This record gives sequence, structure tokens and C-alpha cells, in this order.
Amino acid sequence: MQLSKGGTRMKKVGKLFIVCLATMITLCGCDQGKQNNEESQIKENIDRAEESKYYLSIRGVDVRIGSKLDETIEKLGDDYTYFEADSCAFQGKDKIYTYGSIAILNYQAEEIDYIATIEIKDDLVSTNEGISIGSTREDVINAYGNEGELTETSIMYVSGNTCLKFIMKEDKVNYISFEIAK
Amino acid sequence: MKKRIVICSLVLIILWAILYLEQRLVVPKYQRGVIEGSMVEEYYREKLDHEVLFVGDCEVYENFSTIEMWNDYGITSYIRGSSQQLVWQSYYLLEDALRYEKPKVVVYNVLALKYNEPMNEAYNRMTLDGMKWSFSKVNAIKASMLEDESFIEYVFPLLRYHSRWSELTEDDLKHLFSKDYVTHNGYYMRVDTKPQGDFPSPPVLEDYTLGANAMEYLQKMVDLCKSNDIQLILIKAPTVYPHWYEEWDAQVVEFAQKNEVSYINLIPLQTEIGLDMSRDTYDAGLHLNTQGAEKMARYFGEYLIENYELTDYRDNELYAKEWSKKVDFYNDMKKQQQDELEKYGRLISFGVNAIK
Repeated sequence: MQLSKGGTRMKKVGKLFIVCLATMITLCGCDQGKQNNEESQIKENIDRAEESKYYLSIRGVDVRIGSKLDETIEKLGDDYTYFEADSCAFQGKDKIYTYGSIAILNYQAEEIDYIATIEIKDDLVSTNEGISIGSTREDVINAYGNEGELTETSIMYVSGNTCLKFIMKEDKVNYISFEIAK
Repeated sequence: MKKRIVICSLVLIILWAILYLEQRLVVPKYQRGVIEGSMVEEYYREKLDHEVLFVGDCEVYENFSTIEMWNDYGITSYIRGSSQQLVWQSYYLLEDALRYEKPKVVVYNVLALKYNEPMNEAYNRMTLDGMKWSFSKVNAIKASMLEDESFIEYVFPLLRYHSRWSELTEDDLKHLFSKDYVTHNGYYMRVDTKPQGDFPSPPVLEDYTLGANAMEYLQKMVDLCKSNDIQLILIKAPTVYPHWYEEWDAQVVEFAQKNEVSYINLIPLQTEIGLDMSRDTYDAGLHLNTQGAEKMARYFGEYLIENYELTDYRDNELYAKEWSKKVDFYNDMKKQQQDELEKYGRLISFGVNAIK
């Protein structure tokens, strides 16, 4: 039995409609790729937190970039000064926990806080390799080697997900931070 | 053959209509909670010109009451602000505004000069999606896009937001074709109070030089104003967090002197302005509340009328009629917020936690 012309026409329109419907359904699904990429980046950052050789040990706790903030704070204790500020249009919240000479800053991903930055604010605390504010450029290089990125105003070392940064002033360490490596 | 063409055309029209409706449905409406995404497009609803135009980030749209400047001085102003508005976005928004009007004065808040490169997709969308299509919008998008963004997603926002199907709310249907005003000529109102506390000490920077890209766009803004015979005023809002380094301030002072434009750092003038940061801020010192924004408007408005040839439009029938509606809307919202504070101890219809 052959289809009438009208029947053939309707068959073509039907096929076109199905293609359009499939396109719309596909569009609804393809953003999953972007979301999965973000999730895997977060997971990768957390996994890499254990790989970096640069972290700060304080009070018997290893404080690492990319690790969960709440878990670290629980181990460090509750004698901190806390500051928080909403980002513009409430796109996240800046949180800073200060334990005397150390400040720990967050970043948020899917409403969970991770450690983004660790700052050493004075010479009462030194890095695990013994460098503190006031150490010389030579001290830093002796402790960490020549492989870092050296400029007149800073020395930076990268390992895993962490960038260890020494800001220099008149050839002495003026500021120390652990940050997310770019 | 003709019938085939007609049928195909009909199918295409129907498909376009479906996609158009789907796009309107899934694009965020920014009508409750996070309303900042509605700010840029509200400008196009203005019926009359403005003699003063502000551009910049939340340090302008939360710190200057445009209605107070009208009430006290008859100044017509608009704040083309948005969240984390980057300097190139400010430039292109200004360029875009000049297609519709030519203000006498443009005010730009300099905090955003600390950002030299594209930062955040969410903020990009909030600033750029509301712009009407023009070369300014095209260039703003190209200057703002992060690596994983694509231009086509700005042309067809459906490609970016289609997964919002699972997040649709009543607001998405209610505001499918029209939106409510969320600002007062660009000013974002918050009457609540949260006193300023201590801020953490700012980090030491490796390099305090303001980025070349940022300064290039500031220069373009200066040149755009000069070529249009517009007076540009650079300001730093009177709030102290995020930190505004002395080193940055010195560079802006030098830039302003070199380009013969005014620059006012309002931070040291808090007392002169009459600000009391235990009462004039709603978020512990990051931004002023309405009480503080009105003080800022009175101070800055006086500066404007003393130094620039602005018109007092309160006696102009056309402007007075239009602005009386704006004043009523402002007073209504102020009362609504004050009533909520009295009844609930906090705002429930405004801010990120708005529930009705």
C-alpha cells in the first residue's frame, strides 16, 4: 500500500518534529558535561591536597590548600577570630579564621568551604622548613632550592595544588602565603 | 512545492516560538533574593535623561541614594551599576548609555581597577545579559569572557541556562515577559543595620601596580568623556573593605592629575560626610544602608551642584511628574522594609534570603 501525498507530507513533518524534540532534549542534557567538569575539578583539587609537599603544620595539624575548611578548623580548635563577608550578589562568602599569627581563607564550591589561602602574618610562626618573616633570600633558597620562580620582590614554589609564596622587601621575607597554584 | 515551503516555514516558526519561550522561561529573572542581575536592563526603561551617570560596582549602587539627590537638589541621576562590574564593562556600559543620552557628569568608582582580567562567569552574566545588543555589548562580552565561556551562549542564553528546568520557580512564570523594578534609578535599597566590626589586616601584595588592561580602559573612559564634553569624576567609595591600598590610591591620584580629571577618595571623609559606621551600614561595613546612602547623597550632591553646572529639575513639570513616581516607589519600599524589620526583626522580602 502506498502512502498518499498528504500522508508522505505528514510523515516528513513528523520526522522534522522528532528531530526538533530530540534537539531540545539534548540541550537539556549537555550542560551535565559542564557540571561534571566542575565536580571533577573540585575532586581533583581535594585529591591533590595530599600530593603537595608544601603545607603548614601547626598544633600538630597539617593545614593543606584544597582540604575541607571545617574539618581543619575542628582539629585546630575554637580559639580563633572569625571574619566573614558576603561577596557581591551573594556569590559565595569570604571566611577568614585567624589563629594569632596564622590566617586561613576559604573558597566555596557547591556550598562547601575549602582552604584557599594560608597566611603567616608575623615572625612567631615559621614554615615547616623553618622560614619565617625576616628570613633572608638566601635562607629561603637554602631551604627550598633554586627551582622556584625568583623575582626581585618574590620567590614562589609550586608543588601539586599549592603555591608557596614569599614576598620580599629589601631582600628579607615580608610575607608568607600558601595559595592555590594556578 | 508552495505547500511544502509553507509547511516548512510553519514548522520553523513553531520551533522558533518554542525555543524563544523556553529561553524566556529558563533565563534567571533576578526578581527575588539575588536581584542584581536585573539592574543593567532597568536602565532602558527610563523615560527621561539624566545629568549625572554613575558606573561601577556595588560601591556605587549601594552607597548613593539617587532619590535623595533628587529630593535635596533636583539632580537627575542614574547608577548603571552591577555586581563586581569590571572596568571594561563600565566603559562599555557608558558607551552604551551614550547612545541614549549625554549626561553632564559621569562618576566612576575606582575599586574595580584591582581586577585586570576576567574574573567570574556569574558576575559576567549579571552585567552583560541585561545589555541591549549593540557593538558595545559585543565588545563587552569579548573583553569579559572566561576561557570556558563562549560567545554563542550570550547570543542564545538558552544554551547556558537550559539546565534550569529543574530549578524553575513561580517567579520564572510570573516574570516570563515583564519584570518589576528592583532599584531606584539604579540604587539598591537596604534599610537594615549591622554595625561595622573589625576587618582582618590586608594581605601584603607582591606588586601594587594596577593592571595595564584595567588602566587602559580607564584611559578609554577618560577619552570617551572628553570627546563627548562630559566631566568625569573618579571616586573611591567611603567603605574600607575590600581594602583600598595607599599604593593604588597614589596611582589613581597621579592618573587623575595627568588627565586633568577629578578624583575624590571618600574614605578619609567619612566624618565630614556624617557617616557613623555603627548605624549606617547593613552588612558590617561593606556597604552603606539607606540611612548612610542618603547621607552620602546629600554630601556628594552638594559637591556636584557647587562644582558642576547642574540643573535643579524640581521645577520642571515633566521631570517633577516622572520623579514623583520614583519618590513614591522609594518611600513605599522604605516603609515596607521598615515594617518588616519591626515585625520580624529582619528583612524577609529583600536580600538573599527573601522568601516572599
